[in-house]
Amino acid sequence: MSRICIFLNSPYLGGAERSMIIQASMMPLRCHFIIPRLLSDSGDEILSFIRSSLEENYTFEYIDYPPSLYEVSRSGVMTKYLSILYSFLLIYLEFRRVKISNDDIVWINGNKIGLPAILYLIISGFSNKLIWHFRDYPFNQGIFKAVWKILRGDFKFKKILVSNSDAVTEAVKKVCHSQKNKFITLYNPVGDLNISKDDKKAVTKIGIVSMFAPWKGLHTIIEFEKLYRTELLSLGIEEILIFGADIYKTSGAHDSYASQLKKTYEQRSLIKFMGKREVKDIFQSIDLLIHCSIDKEPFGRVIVEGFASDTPVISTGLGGSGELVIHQKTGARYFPYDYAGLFKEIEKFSLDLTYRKKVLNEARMHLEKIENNQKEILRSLCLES
Amino acid sequence: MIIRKKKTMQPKRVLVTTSDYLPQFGGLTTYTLNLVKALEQIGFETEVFHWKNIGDIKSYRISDGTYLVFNVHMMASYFGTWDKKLNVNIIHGSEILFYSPNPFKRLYKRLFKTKILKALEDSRMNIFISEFTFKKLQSFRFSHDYSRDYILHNCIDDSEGEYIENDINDEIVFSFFARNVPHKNPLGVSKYLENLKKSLEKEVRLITNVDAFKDVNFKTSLITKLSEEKKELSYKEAHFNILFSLDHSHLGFFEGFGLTCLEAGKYGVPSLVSHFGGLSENVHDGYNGYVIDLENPRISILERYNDLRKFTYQHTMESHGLEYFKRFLKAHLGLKNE
Repeated sequence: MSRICIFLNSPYLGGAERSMIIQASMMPLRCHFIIPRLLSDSGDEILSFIRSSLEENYTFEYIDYPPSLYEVSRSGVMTKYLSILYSFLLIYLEFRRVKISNDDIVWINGNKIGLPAILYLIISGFSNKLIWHFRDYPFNQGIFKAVWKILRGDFKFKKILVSNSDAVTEAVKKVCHSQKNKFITLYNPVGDLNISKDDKKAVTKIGIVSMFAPWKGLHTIIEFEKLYRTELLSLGIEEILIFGADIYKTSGAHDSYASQLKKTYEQRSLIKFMGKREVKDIFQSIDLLIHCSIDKEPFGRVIVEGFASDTPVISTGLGGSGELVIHQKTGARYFPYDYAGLFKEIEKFSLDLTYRKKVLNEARMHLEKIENNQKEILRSLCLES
Repeated sequence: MIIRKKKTMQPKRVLVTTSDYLPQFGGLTTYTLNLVKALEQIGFETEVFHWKNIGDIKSYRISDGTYLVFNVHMMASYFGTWDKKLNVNIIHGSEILFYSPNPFKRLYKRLFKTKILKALEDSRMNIFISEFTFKKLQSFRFSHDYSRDYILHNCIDDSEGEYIENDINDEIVFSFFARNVPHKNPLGVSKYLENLKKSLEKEVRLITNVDAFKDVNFKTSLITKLSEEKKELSYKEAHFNILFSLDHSHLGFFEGFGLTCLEAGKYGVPSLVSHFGGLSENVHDGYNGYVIDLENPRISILERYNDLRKFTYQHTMESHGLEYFKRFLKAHLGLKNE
């Protein structure tokens, strides 16, 4: 009987892994998870999430992911050629252990694992269906230029390139354009997050849910609070809660970001850094969500979590998030760095209850449409030959 | 009974240094005038130091008790002899390219590049007029710090701003005010307007100070001696402002933000801009104008024209007016926003 071999992208339970596991729970076939392990990270957090989401209908195995190769797959930059060649050999042997058969559908959940996995599939003569799931814009530099070239090629297996928003699909089409490739948009799922709130409750707590990286725009919220503190207080806003942390294990643009943010902290500030919390706890404790990315989002998972928990969302709406937040319909939008505009939108949700109810209702309906559509797409991806 | 006397606060003194100032008009002069006005309105005593060359900066001595030094051109942050921690630098655009057509000046600028970047890093605060400028400076190995560096989109003196109804009938009027230099792209403007005229079958008229529109199929109203008054009158007449600047970073030019869009916006005039530099941070496609792809230009610009106009006016006044500038300064200079 055929199964879906899902190659998870990393040992950490980030948004991409969470979405993949929830989507696996909606699939009509048995799922076999291949979980990469880095030296210090076991992937146990992922396994317990799989257990709680799929109950019995799954199998799994670990593969050891050589750290030097993991770094290349993250940055796209190759320097230590011999060590990388050796790492490829190691991971090739790991993949061989998995014993992928031609009855299997291979689902690659991201570019980090995709790079060695596709090479393995080509060499091993795999001939069924490969689904490469893009959960971010394709990075078109370094070794990835070669990877996209490979994805444009013609092989024994059928290739379906799935993206988590139309914005990402457009970007993927640009780098992997080929008659042989099929492109599909499949939004990320929200999962089991049924929180209902008193829609008459005053807005007192604003939340931001994000990892700590400059492009997520947390510094803009700190700046906004500084500029509009008096007005926010008179509107009844008591706290602006920032949930999240620096989750990166590697260096990059996020270096020192968290400490720089904390340096700007003022005693009288309404901002509170809350660290990492359970999604349910977060959305239960906030009355309004600001999604403040200053760069194109591939999707914007927290937005659908906001929709599912009756939390109004105000977003910059860049990239995929703009497909979710439709201004004054499913949420509200503001321009990056336009703090006057952001305050106006908060004010509207705080003072106009009818408007807030209408938006929350439309957001729920939009989410329902997305989720139903998703189930159908997943079914056809698994069952259509 | 002890009666505590209220201390009478002396206004703090700040120095504003600039390379451009009246009677010469331009982006930096406008910025300086607005900055001085905003600072004075929130209670600071200001002094403007207009420097012409590096020697001027080096020999300038600041008065005792100067609270802060606002450098409208970043060069003074390094060459100034005062404590770097007093510096608040405003970083606009092309000046960060360290370029000059004169090879000796270019060499001189490049020699000091690392030191100037270091001076910015040692300063109290850097204000970038767009994210584009901020990222550009990062690409030159400027070590950014989000507790020191801020993006504050340009603000204008909006005291004369008013919403003007201006329906489009048979003629569409455009305003284009710029220096006659290649990166301002008068050729691109000309091509676009010629196309537009053909496609929309309406008369097109361009009000401009740029003497580069000869043998074109649309009407032009050339203003040879541009004054502020004439410029304001032209904006009031225009249906759209246009700015198709190119990224000529290799020649020392890019558009940091595009001040004319705000100047026109305070009367409700939407802008058409190219996507280069910081222009698309200023004009939000479909809200206060359109970002035009010069390779494949959009022609349908008249839909919902009145909505576009209303939003442009509202957005310019609320998000780019002097009040907003004052709000920023107050928050960062330890004054309460009320």
